[in-house]
Amino acid sequence: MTKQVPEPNAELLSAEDIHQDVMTLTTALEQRKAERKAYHILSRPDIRNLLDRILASGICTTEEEAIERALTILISGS
Amino acid sequence: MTDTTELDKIVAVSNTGPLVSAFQCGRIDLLKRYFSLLYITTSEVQELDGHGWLDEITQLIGEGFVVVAELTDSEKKQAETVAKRIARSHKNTRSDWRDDLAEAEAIILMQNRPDLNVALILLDEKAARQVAGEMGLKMTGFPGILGRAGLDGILTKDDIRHLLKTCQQQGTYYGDKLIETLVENYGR
Repeated sequence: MTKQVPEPNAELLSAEDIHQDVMTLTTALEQRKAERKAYHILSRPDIRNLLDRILASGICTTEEEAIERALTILISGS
Repeated sequence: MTDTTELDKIVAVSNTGPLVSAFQCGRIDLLKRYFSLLYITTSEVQELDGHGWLDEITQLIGEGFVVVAELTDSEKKQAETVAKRIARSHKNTRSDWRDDLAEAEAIILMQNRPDLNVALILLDEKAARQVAGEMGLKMTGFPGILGRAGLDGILTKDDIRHLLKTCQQQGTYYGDKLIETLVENYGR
């Protein structure tokens, strides 16, 4: 059977469309990578224990806040 | 260079166009580089079959890289509505909404199935992309995948030109000016 394109006359993409496509794909891949890294670190029992202790102490109200403050302290030393 | 280990690949719904382009130029490996799984619908399988690509898609289904999802009756009704919307968006004279059903089903599949963990829809046809964009769906297309591969350093300028020209010669419409722009923007 002869191979054909389903819609040979379809209007396809512009250079701007493709630039946006590359950015969208890149963002999705980076998000997937970030999710994997976050999952691995947050599923470690020692890290979970530290986060639970921080939240229980009331120093931070969310895990996100605890992580952000920990990183800030690490870089600024304060 | 972007690090894409096995675990960092993403799941997508694909319309037939990007798959056909990958078949035409023999580069399914580029899809496998970035995607762990592609969902398609039964209408898309029928469309691919009707245009001579059944063996190729059957092989990918057998490998488990492509999974065929069956839409519910309710979803099929929604897809008809979307197909009519796509048909109205065409700038050319084609107006039979049934010709847009495969794209519409892919759009509905992505919109309705958050449990599939789909990150993107692969869609190359402008009118369908316009509707998908209006529905808030994230999308890319085959040229975008080539662009990403070029930025990752695995496709040269000559590679990108050759792949798009190969698709062009087999009937997929990529203008010469667009091809050269992509070659310059993304080729290594």
